Amino acid sequence: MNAAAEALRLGPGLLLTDARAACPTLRVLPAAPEDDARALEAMALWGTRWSPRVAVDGTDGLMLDVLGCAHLWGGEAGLLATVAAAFARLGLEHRAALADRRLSARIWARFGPGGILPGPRALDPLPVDALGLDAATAASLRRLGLRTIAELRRLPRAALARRLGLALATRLDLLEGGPEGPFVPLAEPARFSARIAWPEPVATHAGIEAACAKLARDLCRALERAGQGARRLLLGLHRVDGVVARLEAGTSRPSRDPAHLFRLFRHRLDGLELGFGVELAILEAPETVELPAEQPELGAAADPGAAAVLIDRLAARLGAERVLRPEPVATHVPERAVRWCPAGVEPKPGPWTADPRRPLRLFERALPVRATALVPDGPPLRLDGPVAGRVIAASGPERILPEWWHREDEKARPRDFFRVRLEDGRELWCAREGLWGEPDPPVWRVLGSFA
Amino acid sequence: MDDRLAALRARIRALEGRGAGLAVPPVALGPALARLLPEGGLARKALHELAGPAATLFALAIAKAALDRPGLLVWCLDEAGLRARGIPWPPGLAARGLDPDRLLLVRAPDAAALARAVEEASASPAAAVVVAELARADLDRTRRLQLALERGGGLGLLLRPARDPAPSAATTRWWVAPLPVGEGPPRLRLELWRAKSGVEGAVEVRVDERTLALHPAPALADPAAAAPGPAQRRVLARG
Repeated sequence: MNAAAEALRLGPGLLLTDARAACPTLRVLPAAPEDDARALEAMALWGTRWSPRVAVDGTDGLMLDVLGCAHLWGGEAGLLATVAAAFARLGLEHRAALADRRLSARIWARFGPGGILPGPRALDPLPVDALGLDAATAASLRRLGLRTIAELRRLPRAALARRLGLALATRLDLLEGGPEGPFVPLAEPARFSARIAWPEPVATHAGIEAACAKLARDLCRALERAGQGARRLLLGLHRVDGVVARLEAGTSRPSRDPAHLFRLFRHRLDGLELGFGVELAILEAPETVELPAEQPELGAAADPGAAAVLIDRLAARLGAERVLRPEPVATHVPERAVRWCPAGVEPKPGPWTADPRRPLRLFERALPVRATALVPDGPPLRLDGPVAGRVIAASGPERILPEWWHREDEKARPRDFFRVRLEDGRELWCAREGLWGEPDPPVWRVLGSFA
Repeated sequence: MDDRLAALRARIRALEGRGAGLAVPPVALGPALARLLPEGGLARKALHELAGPAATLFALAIAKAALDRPGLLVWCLDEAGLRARGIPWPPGLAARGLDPDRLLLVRAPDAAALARAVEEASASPAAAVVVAELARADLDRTRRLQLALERGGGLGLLLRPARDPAPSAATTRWWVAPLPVGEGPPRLRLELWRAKSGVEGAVEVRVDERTLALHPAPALADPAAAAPGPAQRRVLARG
């Protein structure tokens, strides 16, 4: 609810007709709680500019852990003023509060005037609803005529707990120094990060690129001091309009080479929407591993480091699931004989079985063909369909049975594989699926090619 | 005479700025191709175009020879190429003496992403061989690949589905067709239809399926070109 709505006395629970009567130009949209939650999470990311530990509070609030952060903004009052200015610039109505206890801050922001909580007693005149009690407890409090927090505080705590439940007593304790649960931020801050903030937003890609190169250098210096290498990187670009663009990249081997880390992001910056400009850029390494200092390799060709760099760059461009290395699978079924793993993961090397009957290429989907054979079980004399031609040489059959213990093989039939050479010289790997004498006649498919 | 020609060729290469290619020994493909490759093999740090129905087999034969140095075999293709020609299959590679653990498969979503990935791979010192299944590769694109390969040092193989008469920066351009022989190992007709060295022509080779070595094979299609056997010679003598 914003000030305009309050002035017209609009509020939750109002009938739509009444609201229309009060404000004929009212625009009505259906509630979209999921979109709201997503937007709030985006706001939480935006909030990481003030403190790395930010959590979503309820459906309409953010909770920042500013322990050790406030002095960066000129003290607690300075921090609140900065937050207020940022919200005002986005045109968002808000109320910010800062207190020693999370519940106190929450109440002071939602039910009090906001700002820095002067002391725990300041909460006394606020209504008991502020404690966020369940409906039954709230109703009993109303029945007993207990309206403000002060009235509750005056009562003996033990009796309160006995009569109205432990939850209420715990809530009151929370205001006065009882144990708070752990603060769970949306994302734990990374141990290694670098940031650049600009007084004026940067709206050119060249500027952002230069900044990212500097961030990479700063981050790598910190990594080097700690003897760590980055496995995962997160680049957050905070735009003036409150949108946070987040880019993620992984490395196949731990790295603290600024040029390499920068290149993982560089080409992705090109297509990025910068809006009215970026005011803050943060590069984090959420995942690092021990990387002992070593002599930089000079002009080494084809070393594992170069391979890792290539894999990372390709994976950053295309996604890790598109840069693959093969891993053998112990099976006779050709479709399952290879597992393609993201290349960053160290693949299990060999052993590969060297069977000369295997083709050079395997089709993603086997091509159905018609085959003419001299004898039912013999090799085909001619193929018709997507690939067609007279067969001038054939070798086989090689029978491969389905593996009944695999779910996808439940309905599979035994196959006889042939390598055939067509009259134009092409060599194909085809199979007759099924046996003669079964209710369904066998079908032929081409699975691969030898050239 | 040959020495003088070679010296002149070296001078031309130096003038063209392609001297770097000679510093590394070329990929030796054996005596079968000696007539077409006067420098003793296919130049590394250079792009070679292979088209035709048996281009994959020839590409693997070249890759096998080029992988005598450390480095990856980077095979780049996009979804369209994958659907049309299938995936290079490690069990088949292993059976022909190529180590699948050195294969890096790059599966680009579309042609544009593929072109960028190929360039990235070509410029990397980690790639000994880059196979690129690019459907379209104009002069500009191939020139960029050539420059990237000169930086990276690997051998680039451009696999094309059809013969493209458009100009290209590829050092050699081949048409690879299988020969319809009844039995025995596959035979290929390798037609070098454009080469920067100026030598053009065609040879027929027999492919050893266990090692991917290329052996000279007498021409089948044109019996007159084949080395005359004793029986034939007798006929000729009588005629």
